[in-house]
Amino acid sequence: MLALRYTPSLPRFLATRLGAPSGGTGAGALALEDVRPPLPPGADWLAVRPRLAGICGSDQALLGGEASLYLGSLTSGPFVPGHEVVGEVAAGERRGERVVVEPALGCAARGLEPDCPECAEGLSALCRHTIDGAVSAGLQTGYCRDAGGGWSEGLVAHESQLHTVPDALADEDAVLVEPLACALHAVAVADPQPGETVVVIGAGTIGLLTVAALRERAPQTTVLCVAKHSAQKAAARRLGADHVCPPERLHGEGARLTNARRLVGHGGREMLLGGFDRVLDCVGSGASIEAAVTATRPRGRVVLVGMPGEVKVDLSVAWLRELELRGAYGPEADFPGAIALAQRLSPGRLIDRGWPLRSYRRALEEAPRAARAGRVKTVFDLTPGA
Amino acid sequence: MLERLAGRASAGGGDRPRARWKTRTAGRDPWTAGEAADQAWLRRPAASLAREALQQALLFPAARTLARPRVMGAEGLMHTPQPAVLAPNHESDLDTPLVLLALPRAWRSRTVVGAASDRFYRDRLHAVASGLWINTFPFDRGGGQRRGLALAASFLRDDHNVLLYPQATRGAGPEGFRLGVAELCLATRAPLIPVHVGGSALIMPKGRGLDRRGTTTVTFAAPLYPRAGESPVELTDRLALAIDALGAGSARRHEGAL
Amino acid sequence: MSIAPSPRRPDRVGMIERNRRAPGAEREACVVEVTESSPPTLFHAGEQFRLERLPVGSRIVYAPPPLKGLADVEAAISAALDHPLGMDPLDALLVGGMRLTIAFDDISLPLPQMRTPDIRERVIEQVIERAYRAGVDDIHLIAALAVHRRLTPAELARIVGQRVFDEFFPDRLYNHDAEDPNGIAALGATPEGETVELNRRAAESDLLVYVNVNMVTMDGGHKSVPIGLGTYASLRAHHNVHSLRHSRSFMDPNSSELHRSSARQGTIVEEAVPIFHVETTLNNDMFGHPLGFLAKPEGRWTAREQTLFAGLRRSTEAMGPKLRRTLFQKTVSPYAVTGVTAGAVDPVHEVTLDRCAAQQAVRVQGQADVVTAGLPYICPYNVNSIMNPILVMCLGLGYFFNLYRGRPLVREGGVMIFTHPVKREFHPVHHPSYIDFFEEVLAETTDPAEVERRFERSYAEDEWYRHLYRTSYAYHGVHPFYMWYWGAHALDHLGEVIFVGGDPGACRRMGFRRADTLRDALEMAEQVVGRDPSVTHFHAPPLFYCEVE
Repeated sequence: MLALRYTPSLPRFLATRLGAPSGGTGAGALALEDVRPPLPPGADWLAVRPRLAGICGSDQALLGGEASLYLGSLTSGPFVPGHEVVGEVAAGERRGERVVVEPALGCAARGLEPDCPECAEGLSALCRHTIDGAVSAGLQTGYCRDAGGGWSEGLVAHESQLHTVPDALADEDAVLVEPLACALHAVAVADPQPGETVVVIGAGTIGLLTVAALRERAPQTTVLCVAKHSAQKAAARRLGADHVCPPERLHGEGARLTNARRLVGHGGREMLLGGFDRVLDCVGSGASIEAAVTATRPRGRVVLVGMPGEVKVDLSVAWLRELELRGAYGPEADFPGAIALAQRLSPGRLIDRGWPLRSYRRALEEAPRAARAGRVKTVFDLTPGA
Repeated sequence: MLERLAGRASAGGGDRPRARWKTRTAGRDPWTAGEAADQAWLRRPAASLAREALQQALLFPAARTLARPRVMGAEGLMHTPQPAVLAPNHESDLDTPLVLLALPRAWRSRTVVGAASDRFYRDRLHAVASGLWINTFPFDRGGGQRRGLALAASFLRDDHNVLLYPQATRGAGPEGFRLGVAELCLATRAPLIPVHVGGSALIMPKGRGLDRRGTTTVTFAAPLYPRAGESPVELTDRLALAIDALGAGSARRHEGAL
Repeated sequence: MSIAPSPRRPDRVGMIERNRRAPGAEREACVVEVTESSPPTLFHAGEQFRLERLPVGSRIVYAPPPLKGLADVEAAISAALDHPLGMDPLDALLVGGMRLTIAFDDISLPLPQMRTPDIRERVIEQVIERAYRAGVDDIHLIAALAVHRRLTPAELARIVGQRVFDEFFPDRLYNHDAEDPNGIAALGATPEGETVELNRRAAESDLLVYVNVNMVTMDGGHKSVPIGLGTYASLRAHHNVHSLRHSRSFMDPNSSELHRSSARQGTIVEEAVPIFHVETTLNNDMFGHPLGFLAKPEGRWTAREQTLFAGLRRSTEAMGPKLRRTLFQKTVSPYAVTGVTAGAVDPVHEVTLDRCAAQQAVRVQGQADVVTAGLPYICPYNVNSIMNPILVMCLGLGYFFNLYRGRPLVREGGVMIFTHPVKREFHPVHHPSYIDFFEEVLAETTDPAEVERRFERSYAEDEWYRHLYRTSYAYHGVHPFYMWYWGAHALDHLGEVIFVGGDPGACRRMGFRRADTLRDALEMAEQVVGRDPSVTHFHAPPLFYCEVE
């Protein structure tokens, strides 16, 4: 079967990071190959045929040489990327059932007893036994050699990873259930209280879905969305942001919204005396983290939602203001909530277009461009005849 | 009637109307009151860089040679929130370049100067020149300053600092403080920074151009924050007092230096 | 520190400007008497410029100089939406989950089109922003064009802006279709028996926001919704010869039967759906730099401007007609916004009319026997199109004649002389019914009442025209009739209409006379009004109106 396989190679990765042209495909480390379909590693595993598979920002960072090298210890290659998957069960008694895949490979999927402390709490994305068990090492589907991934015509998943898609939910909406679940989890980590002010930095897929999740779970808060590109502003407003501003105006808007005072220091370093209660950074660059840290009130909370890599950031203000910095990774137990929200939200309207696997180079080139134009998501369309 | 068509007499016959005639400007001409517009393109990043280069290369060295300014209190600006309204006293056209060169870069690159539209925006040439050299916007002095203050408020909303002269004209003296700047600060709740420029009236007096070289002082004070329920008159009084105090203080230091 | 004029702030309108009326002294310079040493006068003639000599003793009435626009348009829009007249603030009216419809004036205004961003774009963006904040998701945008032609996607995008266009087109941003049997709601009739029909989506909304541009005093008020979103059946009530003959003039809503009738319809419409009007006014800065001198008296043109004009005239004459038309239709005007008012229709329109008067009113003492005017290349119905003879008649006898308050500028039985080539060309896509109107109807009779009685019904209900109106970009079959009725008052009032430089066949068909030069035309006029007539030249564009005493 056809699959886009990523073969990790340190020299190629570093070359891409240093600027060697890769066309978005990681200097040839990603290739469309004809491979044998993955075998289910145990009785509780089912073969799934993907219908739509999303291209996530973390996938693009991996292919662009910007991901962290720490991931090397938590992934096993060569693997097929793609962890935002809606498909149908390919064989067995549940054959033909439409499912979305919860990508985390925790103790249950790996057939390990007893659960590690994290899996016992339901945080399978934070599993400690990620290198053990029936499946090769890997945090989640899409980073694991044995499990396969969404960017192919077939993958295998443990039955605990599969969630049935109700008929009312279209494929376009279902493929965004995984990022929506991550957004809901990020909002839970941020835990804003009624009446507080919250910033979401970034209006890509994860930023926009975080805005929607905030509206859903914390309707009494004031939400500011920082959108770099003007086409993303309308999308942010539509999803419920109270205010939208470009990145350079964050501190000015913050001063107005939180009645704080904005100081501009050497070299244009801006900070607020006062500031927002919660800031969710859905970009993960040095500039966005520094902006987040300088716009939060003392003892406020900054949540890193977008995957940071190796960034250059001045964290002194986080120390001076006794801020909390928390990471938010994975969906925790939010898949059912995400499915319910997706039915009301119709996140499928954020999708720009679906590409066949054969056009993967163009898809990976166009994906960042689409993100700037406001229709922020690009997916692979694997339905037969695409 | 038709024998007496207009312009026939001087043109000397023929049915074609003459193509050139003498311009008549009897009475005040309401059509040429058209002033040049605000040149917003001069605030773009590329133009701002060009302005900074020109100021540092030409304008500020010239001002320093002519006026030998002593700057006091500029460090306090590091602790003043932006955007704010800068309110200097106004004695001469040299005041704006002096205040701008006294400001730290973090302020100067974010400050727009309110320039009287009937003087500085007479035509496009003057508009571009003042916008380029000192980053001005047209301040409409007529009609109770409503339009000028509204435009200044929109700049504050866009996170620019605004430099406005509360006396509205040069050499108005301590009684000449108008209420507009205070009204602006009360409506927008922006801090008001009193600035004192001393000695510029001798160097470039009103109506005489460059007279001689000399020494000047530029002093910045701590910002005045509008209090709850304060009226524009009260705030203007506080401003006038503050500028006066700066003036007296700088004069004393000046004499001490001499 | 709160600077933005956000709705959460308490009343703080101190920083918002209020435009003052222009002082009377400026208006005295607008009426100029022609003397022996006066320079020649500029006459527009379609896409060309003429310099004509007027007789000594004539009057020339010029448009007042443009008022200064608002310094901060966004703040003014915000303030208007927060402090409307006679209605609750917009944020209070927007309730999550409601059906919101935003209707806006079509491409007939302003003329020429204003520079982007169009004022309608700015208002619509602010309204949509507030709607999203309130949780309103069901928003439709409708171009309120009544029986005008549909707007192309590019024209829609130019009015509402690319961002709004990308988000809403084509299912939630569209043209009003007056002939869609499923898209029309019948709202009954007024006590005087005038049918009221409205766009169904608008009638069934929870709130209708109308965004208009008031270029002349005819627009706005109750003319916006009942007419803009109406149908042929509801237009028949006031777009007829009787109503228009008794609109003296339709530029003055207080003296206009057209406006009284649409006001009655407006009352019925307001009972069906709450309407939040947002009315905007523009100054008359029609000619951008460097052609601004075209608006001012020729005596004040400097030598540089005279040279510029000579160059302009030479180049327009040398150009081929197609290139010339393209360039002229592409011009945009640097109109500045002089005011934004929002709320209930009556108080808002009063303010709007005051603002229009401040910009456009010129007091003139006494009528004239002969009024001359140069007709430009554009009228509301040929934007991006061709000006056919019927539109020339509508512009001259409909609009220019009716730009008065009190009494017409020309006396009863007087003569109007226009300069325009009146070329016999029609745009086949935009004006198909005009071609048949010219060939078939005008060949039989030019009397508006006869035209109405014998031909209007068949054109209005013609299936082919209806099909073109609904699917192509054509004006409705009945529209040429409305153009003809627009001049009905003038045809009654005037003794003669003469076109200088007009096509003989076209002028004859329409029942007008033509002359080669202005001098010939004045001689012909003398035969109608008597020797030594008083002549006044109406120096438009830019548009203004005369308050004749």
